[in-house]
Amino acid sequence: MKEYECIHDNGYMQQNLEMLRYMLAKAYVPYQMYNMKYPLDKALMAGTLFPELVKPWPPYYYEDVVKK
Amino acid sequence: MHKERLDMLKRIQEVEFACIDLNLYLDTHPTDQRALMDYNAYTCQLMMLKRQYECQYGPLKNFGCSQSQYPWKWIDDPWPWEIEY
Repeated sequence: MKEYECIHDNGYMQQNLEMLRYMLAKAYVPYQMYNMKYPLDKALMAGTLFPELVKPWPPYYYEDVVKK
Repeated sequence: MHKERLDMLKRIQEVEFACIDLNLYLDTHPTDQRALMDYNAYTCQLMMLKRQYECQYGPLKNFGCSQSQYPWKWIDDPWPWEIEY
């Protein structure tokens, strides 16, 4: 546990910090990779060229995905 | 309208969409060589398709993208937004 210099000198804040250590959530975004693409007519219908952006992940909305 | 003309327009839309989606991808992945290769290939294809379409059916845009035969072709029907698919 890291040490903090408390602005208000009471144990209550220290206790809160200790709790936050376990409660904070972290958001992340997976980095997109260009490994597959839809056939162009399907891409126009799906609204994206990239199957990995279409929910549900996976299986993809259109099945005939073209492997590159 | 001829099916052949509509098919050609559809194909132009498909290829143009692929180009713009790769444009967006490349904005955040500028060193992805496969994406860049596909972007260049589709862009080349798009330019050829548009040139071919415009030779046969007249301009897709009013100015700046292609030359016009005589007489001025832009005013011929149908306007691009009047085409029914």
